[in-house]
Amino acid sequence: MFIARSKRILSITVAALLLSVAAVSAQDAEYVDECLAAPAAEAVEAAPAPDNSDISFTIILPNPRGDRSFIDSAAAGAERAIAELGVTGTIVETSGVQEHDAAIRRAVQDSPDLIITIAVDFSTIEEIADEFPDQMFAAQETFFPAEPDFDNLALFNIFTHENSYLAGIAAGMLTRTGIVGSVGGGDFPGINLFIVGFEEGVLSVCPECELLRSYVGDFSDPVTGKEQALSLYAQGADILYQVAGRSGEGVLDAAAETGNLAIGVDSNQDDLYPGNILVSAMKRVDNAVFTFVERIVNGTYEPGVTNVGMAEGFAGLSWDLGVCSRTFDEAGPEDLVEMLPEVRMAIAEARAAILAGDIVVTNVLLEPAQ
Amino acid sequence: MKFLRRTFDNLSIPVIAVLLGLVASSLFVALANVSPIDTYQRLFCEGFGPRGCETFGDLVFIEVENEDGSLQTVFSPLYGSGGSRIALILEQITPLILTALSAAVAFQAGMFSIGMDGQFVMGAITVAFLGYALPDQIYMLAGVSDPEAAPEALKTAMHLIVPLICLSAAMAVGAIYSWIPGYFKVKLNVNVLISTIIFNAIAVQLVGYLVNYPLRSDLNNIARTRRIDDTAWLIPFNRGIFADVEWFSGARVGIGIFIALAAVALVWFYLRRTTAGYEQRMTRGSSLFARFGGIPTDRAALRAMLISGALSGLAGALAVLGVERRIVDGFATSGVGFEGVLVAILAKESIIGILLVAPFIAGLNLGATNLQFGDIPRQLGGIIISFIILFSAMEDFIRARLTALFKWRPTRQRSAPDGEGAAA
Repeated sequence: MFIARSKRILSITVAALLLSVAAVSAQDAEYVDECLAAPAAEAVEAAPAPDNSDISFTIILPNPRGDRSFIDSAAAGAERAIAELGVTGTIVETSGVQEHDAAIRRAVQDSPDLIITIAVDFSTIEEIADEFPDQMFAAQETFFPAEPDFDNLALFNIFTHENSYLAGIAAGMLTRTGIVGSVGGGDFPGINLFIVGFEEGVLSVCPECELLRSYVGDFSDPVTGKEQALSLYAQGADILYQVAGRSGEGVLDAAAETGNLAIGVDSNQDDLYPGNILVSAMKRVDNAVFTFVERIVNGTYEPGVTNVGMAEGFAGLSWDLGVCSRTFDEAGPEDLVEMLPEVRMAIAEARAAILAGDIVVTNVLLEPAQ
Repeated sequence: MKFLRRTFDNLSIPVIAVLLGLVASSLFVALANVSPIDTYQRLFCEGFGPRGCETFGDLVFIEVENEDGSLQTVFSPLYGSGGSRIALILEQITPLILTALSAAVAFQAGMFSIGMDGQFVMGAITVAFLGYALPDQIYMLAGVSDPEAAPEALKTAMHLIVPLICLSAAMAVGAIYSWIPGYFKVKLNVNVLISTIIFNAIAVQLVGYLVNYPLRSDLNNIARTRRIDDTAWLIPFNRGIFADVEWFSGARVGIGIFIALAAVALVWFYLRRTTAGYEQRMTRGSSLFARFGGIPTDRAALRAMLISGALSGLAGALAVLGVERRIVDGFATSGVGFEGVLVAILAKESIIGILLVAPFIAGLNLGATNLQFGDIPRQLGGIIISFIILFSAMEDFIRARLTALFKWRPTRQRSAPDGEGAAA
């Protein structure tokens, strides 16, 4: 009882402090919603697609479509490339790891100009790239322990620790209980990249916040994802960050069911449960796929590793320019919506500091995990 | 004449079953807004045809362009430009034949064991571990610090011994894993169907745990074990002796297919030509009668379970040693064991039947997965396969209808009582 009361007093003080800070900052820098300031929609007429139908690519998706997240984002990029660049594209879904190898080998038989793989294990890629030196490959989300040396393989990694940090700021500022959790698809660096960045973001604005974590161990199991989310909410968390592919759908569902908040991942998931999804930490896999195809069309394909992140516009928040999701403003709880301009201000400042190098977010893929 | 008629009779029924399956699934194909004929041509071309196959005709003869631009008609199964699908089928049926044999042996002792999946993954994880641990030990004992610099003689010896030990170990593990439910059945009368289902679940979870924790090689996105040593690797033809033959390109078919075929011959000999095999088949026919006749039915059943488990374990070992070279998380749920059960049932447990059904199912699976390369949704492939399997399972019904329709040979007794028609 005493603790609860002291917590409340504390939170009131913090809120008061924040308000005064906001008032002060409001004087010298009024938060400008770039989305409102930006010209309404691109009025530019989409140019008719050039005819590049003699250029072909095949994209291998690691799981079936329909996760409304990572996989769908990759497929959307491929579809955009087909539509805008006028190339011939084949989108191939696989049902899991055991089919990746066979699907890529089958794709090689058609000898397209480029085969794009998404989140396929590096040993599979390594073996196939070695076996078919005349076939060009581009791999998104494949992490090699040592930089590979193939003339026919381009690797593209999107680092998402920085935008996760920004999502963490939003969560840290808007949590009512002071407990924030993450639900990951599995306990390995590719996922912890998101979670560690997010947790650092939370702690940067709310040092006393308690952090919870759980791992589903599967990327296509929404039922378990939901169970774990419900359990985290029951432990007092009120905002959960899901990094679990289709399993994460369960987390979003649990947020809507319990009236708590969740943060979406990879795609813009804000509209799936309006008002229950605070923001989405987007990873523009679609842009990565599009870039691959664009390079083949322009003849600028280059083997080797490309690392991109927030600075290059491949990672960001759904609130940002380009997506400008304002679903939470319309459907979210009023007391939190009132705080949004302040949150966005803090995020804009943090973004500038990250890009300037003043804030360094841990990248667990490059540094030892915590 | 009689032989011709019988062959025609035996062949016509599967063909009719396939056609019925295609007709039935047309409804779903049409619902998906694609032309059924195009879909089926695509399905069979992707499964059985050569590269560039577009129509049913291309399955047999295909016109290909020579280097000088002239056209030439070639016999499709031998056309290997860009790799042959037949080679891919050979890769796929290697474990499939073994798990199907495994199921057939158990069924023919009256044990309805469907534990092939569990035995398969247990055999696979055994060699995935031994495949690198054993060479490591040998190098250490031989005092070789750098395996690359090991003396040639040692390497040659290891190339012979290590795979042999790995395969034997996998067979032993599979056999034990199958013997336990068999023992439960014989001593405690526990239903084999239920106990093997549970044993499958245990094996899949156990392998999932092992791959994710103790045997995990690195912290990559997808958990996997260390790659097996090159001395344990059964090098596929396309990397070894037939590296220049384009027909094999991309398909990892290797010595395993011969091991599988040898197993077919041995199992046939065991079941049909040995006392033990006879005892086992008697046990299935009528357990009480067999026991009254002095046949140790319990022993016969347990022996069948041991052989069945060893065959499935061997299948798992060949999948790792010849194809995968490591186990990646998700391998355990791929369900090769269940495919084997399906093949055994469709083949009516006939050994020769398995040799015909396994390539057919493997080709259909291949075709169904690759329908997408023709912009046809992959789910349709699953529906078509399911219908074909459903109608294939209605063989007796179709046979009865046909007989009634044509009154071919009213005097002749149709099919053996235990349904070994396909074997004849």
